[in-house]
Amino acid sequence: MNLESFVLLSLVLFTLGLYAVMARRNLIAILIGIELMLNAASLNFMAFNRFLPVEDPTVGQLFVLFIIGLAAAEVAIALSIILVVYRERKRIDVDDITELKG
Amino acid sequence: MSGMGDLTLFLPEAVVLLAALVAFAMSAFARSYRAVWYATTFMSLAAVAVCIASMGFHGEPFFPGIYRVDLFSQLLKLGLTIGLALTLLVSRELPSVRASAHSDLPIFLTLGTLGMMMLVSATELLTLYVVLELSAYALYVMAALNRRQREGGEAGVKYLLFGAAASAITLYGLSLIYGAVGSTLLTDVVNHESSALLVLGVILTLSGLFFKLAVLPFHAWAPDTYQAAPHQVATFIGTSSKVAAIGILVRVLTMALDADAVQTLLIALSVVSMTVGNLAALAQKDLKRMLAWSTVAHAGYALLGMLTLSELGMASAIFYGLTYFVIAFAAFLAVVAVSPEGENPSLDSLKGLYRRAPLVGIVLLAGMFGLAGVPPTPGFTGKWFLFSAALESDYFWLVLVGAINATISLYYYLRVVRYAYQTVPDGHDSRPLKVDFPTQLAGWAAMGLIVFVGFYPGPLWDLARDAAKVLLAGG
Repeated sequence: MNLESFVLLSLVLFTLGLYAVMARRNLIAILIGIELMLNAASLNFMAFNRFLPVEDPTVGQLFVLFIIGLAAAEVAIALSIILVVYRERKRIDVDDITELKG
Repeated sequence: MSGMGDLTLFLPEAVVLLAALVAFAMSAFARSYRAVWYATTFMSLAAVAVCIASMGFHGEPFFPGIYRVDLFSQLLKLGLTIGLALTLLVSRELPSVRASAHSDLPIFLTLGTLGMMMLVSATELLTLYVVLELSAYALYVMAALNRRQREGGEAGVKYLLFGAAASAITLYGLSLIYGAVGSTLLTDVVNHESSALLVLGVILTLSGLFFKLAVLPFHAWAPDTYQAAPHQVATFIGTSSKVAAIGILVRVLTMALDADAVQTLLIALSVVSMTVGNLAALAQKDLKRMLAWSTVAHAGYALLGMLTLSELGMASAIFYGLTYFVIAFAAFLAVVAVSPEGENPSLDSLKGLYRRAPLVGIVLLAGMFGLAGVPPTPGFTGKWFLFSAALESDYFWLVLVGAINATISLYYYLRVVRYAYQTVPDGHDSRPLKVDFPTQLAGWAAMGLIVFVGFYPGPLWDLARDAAKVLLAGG
């Protein structure tokens, strides 16, 4: 395994995530896409840490730990707001959330 | 890394953090909203005073290299605390927020401001990312607090999903910067020789930050969120968060001073934002939606200064950010004041405003003239500085596009004024509007700032120049 394969994998993950955000209609699926993008970045940090002569490898590891923590907080907020939408409409499809226009 | 710096440099942020904790404790012990509001408003005014006193601070309160306090950061922090204080002043009555969530609003307002204040000081990628998310999460929650849950949920979900995707793109960009440089300190990034990976990282990082400023094509959330968020929250998103966004964009752009690709991108986005923002604003009937599109256009103007990547350009963008937020606040104050039931004001509901609430009428007039860039408001001075910075760097055609756009925008801004100064037609509500005292106070303060900076732009311009100098020298 070398750096290229890790970075390529992370690029694929990122693109898949971005595609999910743009193409999927279900709010939860979009959220999963965002998680994929965050994990792609985490993978990048760890790969660069392992294969490049970085100044201080703990920095990249700390970064990943923070990403994991923040992603959890983000999901908590996202799910609670999606729950508000669900309670009102009984659907969580983006095509249904189109009352605001102009 | 060794040794902590001088913690007293953190004082302005500490006051706002304390306000957030006090608001949280008071709402946890079920104090009335009025009590929470008094405490946080008082503390936000104290934070403004502390920021003025700390204008000369410079140094590093924490570990070396991650958090810098200098004239640039302190100037923007002053703007952010003024934005917080003004927003809190118009928040005593919250007809557009659901009653059970009243006490939550001050908590998230102060937390969001704390995140933004730390954002303009952050000089390390991890710090930058964490405080960016701190300010963003507070905004996501606030956007969903509308009394009418159906609209609130829609505003919250749109803002959150766009925002989370944007910050994921930023994060991916940060990871590429880390890969190119091997360090997360901004000083290392600036001094590192440019490479394709680094430029790509900076561009991705910028993309996520453009979301905050509502630059096209990252603007899709803005009209819906502005329309459906509670008025006070729309005010906060439309004022304070723009100051922070301009601050962090200027800071990140110092990492890309010799990158042509970044400059080309900025030119394209600036032109598209100005034009589309103004044209879309022309068609709006809902006042808040119109203000959202006007934000998109103004983001384009601000980019006009930044894209020169020169000291003059950065200074003009800082000046624009610091004056724009007061002007935009004046416009939002009218939105808050003309909707005593929390409904969304349309242009028609402004009719006869000059007689129903003379002060609000005048504040709206100042705001609209400022947004349109009519002299002697700071809106005119700010555009003047932006355009002359762009001319200095030989972007004549960009200035032309900007000037044409400013002319288009005159139409819809002055249309609002025309409605407000029209006599009340028969059958229309013509009773005097009740405007509470703190809102009047905020109106006077905004008017005072607009008139003062309009006639004496010199002192603020000098500060902005010095801030840009510090920013570019500090790297």
